[in-house]
Amino acid sequence: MSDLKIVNPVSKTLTAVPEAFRNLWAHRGLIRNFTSRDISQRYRNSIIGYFWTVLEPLLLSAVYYFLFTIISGNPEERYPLWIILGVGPWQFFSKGLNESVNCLTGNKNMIRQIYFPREVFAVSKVLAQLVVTCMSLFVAVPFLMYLDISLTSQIIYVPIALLLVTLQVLGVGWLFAVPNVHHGDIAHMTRFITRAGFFVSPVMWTISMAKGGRAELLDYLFLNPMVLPLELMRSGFDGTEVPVPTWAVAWCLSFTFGMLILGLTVFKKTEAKVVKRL
Amino acid sequence: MSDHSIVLENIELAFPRHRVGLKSIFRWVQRRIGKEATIEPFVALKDVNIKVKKGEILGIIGKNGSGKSTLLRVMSGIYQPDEGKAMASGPVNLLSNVRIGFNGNLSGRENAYLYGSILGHSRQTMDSLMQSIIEFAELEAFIDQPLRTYSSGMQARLGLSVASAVQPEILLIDEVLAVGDEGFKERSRERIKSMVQDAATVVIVSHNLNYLKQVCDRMVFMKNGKVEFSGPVDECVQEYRNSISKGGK
Repeated sequence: MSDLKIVNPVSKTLTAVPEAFRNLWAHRGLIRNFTSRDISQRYRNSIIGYFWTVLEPLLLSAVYYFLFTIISGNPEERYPLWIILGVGPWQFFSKGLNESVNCLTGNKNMIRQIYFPREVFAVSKVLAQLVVTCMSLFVAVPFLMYLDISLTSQIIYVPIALLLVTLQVLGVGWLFAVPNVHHGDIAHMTRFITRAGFFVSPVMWTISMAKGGRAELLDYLFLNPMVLPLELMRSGFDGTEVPVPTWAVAWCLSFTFGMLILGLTVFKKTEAKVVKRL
Repeated sequence: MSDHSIVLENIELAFPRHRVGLKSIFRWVQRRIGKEATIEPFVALKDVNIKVKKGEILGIIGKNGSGKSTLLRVMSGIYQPDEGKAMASGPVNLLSNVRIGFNGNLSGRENAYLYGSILGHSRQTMDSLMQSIIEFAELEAFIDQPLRTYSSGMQARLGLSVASAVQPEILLIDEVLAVGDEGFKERSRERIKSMVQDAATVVIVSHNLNYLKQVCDRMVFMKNGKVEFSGPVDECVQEYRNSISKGGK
């Protein structure tokens, strides 16, 4: 009898995830516009513009290389390549996580003035970061040429690694986005996680380098879900075997997808009520 | 088929006043030992029942802080009510700030596309509308310049021009009538008037009583988050004026 529907009802627990994906698909044009806005204004006022996407990881890698050489003498020949392939994805993780955790607090003006599904914010921020990361990977090309590494079919690991990071960042980001509106502590905590995580993730070092150390501690290291993507990046480019045990791969995959489903469900269930607190 | 476009049933909405923090733990302890230490939330809307018929133009008046804008945000789904139900028969378009998502570094054209997609228009729709948007905003010479070079009036013109380019089914308007110089104001009044006339259902919040008198079929007078009066336009305006002259709370 009635064609009246509740305006933007809160999702049911079980249908929250498919609903969110439907929303994202329906708003793909908006996501694309937000993403390209983010990318194009990132380097708007700089002289060398997009060159910064390549220069930043390159300079960071140079600093790490210098530091590492001081600490442990002569590193392996491929070490510079490894750092470069570590720095890019790590920056993607840390910037992407901080941005997706702040996806509600950072857009409060827009959220209070118009309604569209709010999962769009985190996705477009993270996609912008992903695009920048992909562009920065071109810096590896001269190193690959210098080291005379030819790409194998393992290059398929690279998109898989980037996908894993994307999903992790979104899942964790959505999980903490609503608590972050209640407590500013969350943003501090994520900043800490991304800073401390840098040292326990194979960015400056690799798993094969760590194997010389205390083996019983190495297992704990594999609990870090960023280990797999970072090692996949390296194996993807230089064709070596992925030095991650099967159980750790399974753990990383279940963490990634579990977190995505949990985070998105929590986000969809709670975001509507939290708008009042923005 | 119901003959209503928007139905609000027993809406209640309160804004929490305190932040959760260390102090809230102290307050919790104080409550445990029997002290009164609750911070009451600010009740913005209470027992609001409004039905808007299809094709009706409803005006909402009331003093600042009486809950008018909050009411529109509940209707458009920005706020979920704490109690009660907000229902609509189709997509609801809220026209409040006409500069949503504007970015100074992007060109006027890019901003128009961005704002259009925020409003839910596809790229194809925006492509076909872009020429008329630019003409209406009178920004032909500036449209590819960065937005930061625009005056605030020019920005508002661009925003209003985008926002009013597509005719929505259910339209909510929150005080966007007065932007730009006199010439543009006149044309935007005309544009909004024609939007109001063509849209199936309109809810307008405004302080411009004369304007509301011209366009509205019915009016609601909000006071302290409650519907004080709902009914014919003239009576409602009279109620409102009485309430102001009494200076009552």
